[in-house]
Amino acid sequence: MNLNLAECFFQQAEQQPGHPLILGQELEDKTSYAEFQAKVESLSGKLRDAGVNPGDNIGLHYQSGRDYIAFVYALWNCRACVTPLPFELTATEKQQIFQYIHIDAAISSVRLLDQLVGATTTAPEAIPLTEQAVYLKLNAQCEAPPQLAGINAAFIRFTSGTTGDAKGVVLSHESIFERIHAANQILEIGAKDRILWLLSMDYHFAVSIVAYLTFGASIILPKNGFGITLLTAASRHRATLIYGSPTHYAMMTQDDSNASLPPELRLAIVTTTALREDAAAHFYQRFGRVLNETYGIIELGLPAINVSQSRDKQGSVGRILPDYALRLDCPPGQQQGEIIIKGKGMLDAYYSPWRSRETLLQQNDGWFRTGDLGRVDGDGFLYIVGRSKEMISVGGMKFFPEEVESVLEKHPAIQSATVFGVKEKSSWGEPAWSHLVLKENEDQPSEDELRTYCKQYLASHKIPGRFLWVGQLSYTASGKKIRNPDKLRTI
Amino acid sequence: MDIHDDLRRYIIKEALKGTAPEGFDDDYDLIESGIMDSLFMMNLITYLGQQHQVEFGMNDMVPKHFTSITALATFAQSKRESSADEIR
Repeated sequence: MNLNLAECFFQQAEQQPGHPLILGQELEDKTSYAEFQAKVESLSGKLRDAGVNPGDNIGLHYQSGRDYIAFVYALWNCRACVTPLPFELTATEKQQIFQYIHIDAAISSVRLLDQLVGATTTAPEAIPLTEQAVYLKLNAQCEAPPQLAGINAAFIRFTSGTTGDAKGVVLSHESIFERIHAANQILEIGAKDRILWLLSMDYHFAVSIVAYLTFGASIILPKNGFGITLLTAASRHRATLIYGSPTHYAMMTQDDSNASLPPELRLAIVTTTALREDAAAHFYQRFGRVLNETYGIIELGLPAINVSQSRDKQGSVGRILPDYALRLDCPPGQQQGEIIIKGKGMLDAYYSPWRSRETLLQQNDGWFRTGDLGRVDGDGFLYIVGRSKEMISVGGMKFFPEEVESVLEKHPAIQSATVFGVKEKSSWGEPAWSHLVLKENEDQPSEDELRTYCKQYLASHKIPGRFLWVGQLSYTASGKKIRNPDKLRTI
Repeated sequence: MDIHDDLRRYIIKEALKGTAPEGFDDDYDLIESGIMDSLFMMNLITYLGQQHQVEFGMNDMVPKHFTSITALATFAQSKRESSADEIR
């Protein structure tokens, strides 16, 4: 019998049935391991009745929270695979997922149902699962790669890009299991831990939520994102870890009450995007604590975590974990270069065209090229110098600039466009800005017109905050677009 | 449509899916009722920026500005006017 992560959770639930798994904003709002197991088993039965079979791939179109976790585990318990369908994506973006990944059915929040049905080719019948959720049997728009049947798939995560760059990352139960054990050599998560969770579960689940349920921890889910709410939830439940984006920590820092962090807190983990130095400094001034940066890659898991409490190491993502090995591919005479890693829990495959782990590793002698640039200090701490893939992250939701550029460049008045993340003076992590070149003999559209145009094709977080007109875009000597804001021409 | 009316329309349409609960007026507590969760707050801020040119800074993200339609509209209006003054 293959490993199943739902069974790992069930084993934990049998060992500590009364232990709280979910803690809400209020003290009395809690769900124990046994109660959650019963919920997962009940949903599993309803899903089987609705038609879920082992090996099916089910889209999950639901807001983050305890129900989201329950649906993922119920689907795994049915031996089905999960593809997140982030509901903030537009109908066009969701259609892209359906056209790229074979999806047999979807679970949707009733509240968000209209946004999903608009992306499907037919109007599917909605079978109620709970008061808030329905099951939709879909006509899959593409065939699954035949090799998928040979993998005990748990997740297929879609990453959009320009047409040629779209990819699905296939993760098996075994790979995720290896990842969480590799990360836990450093995180040491156990039943004593209460983790304040602040991120989107569509983008963060495999090496975080799964680890918490496997190792018996409790997850604190605050009711909103205000700084005071987060601090209250952390103190009330004596959080030992916080898992959030720079934006969440900034929200806590700017809170003007006297609220503090609980003394039990041992790690304040930052993920999703690089942490600005001033944001880390403000957090330290307010709370007397350093923030713990991490290096997470969907293809690899979490190969580096900075658990140092020293301010000297702020800015580093920490040492490489024991189960991973790190190399830098540095140009001659330079101390920084592309980060290349090998270790446990690598992706099982890219979905289409199918490229297995073995194929990927053969190409690089067993190593995975991250595309990110880094340097390592004398103590072995890794610093990310640049996200060379230029992915932009807004509030923890990631996307490629090429995707937004291709939409902008289809506008009748735009000759060419560059989209880039802005790190300075940004409130929301790393908002996108754009540089645009006007087509000859066209009138310059207003910012409002451009926003309205983008809204037809792009989720809100991908729409540039600024549309700046320039005479020409910036290119490297080899003709590639420059997306580093420090190197962009502005005239 | 002014900000106040548009906010009311937006909240009913997007957060309440077209059906306002009993007693839903301009002073209805959006935070205690759970309407103003993290997701809706981010969507609302994006919407106000795009439709009404109201730019929220990190220091503006405090509950008192989000507690009701009245509070939101008053704050959004003042932000928009102060931005316009800066431009003038």
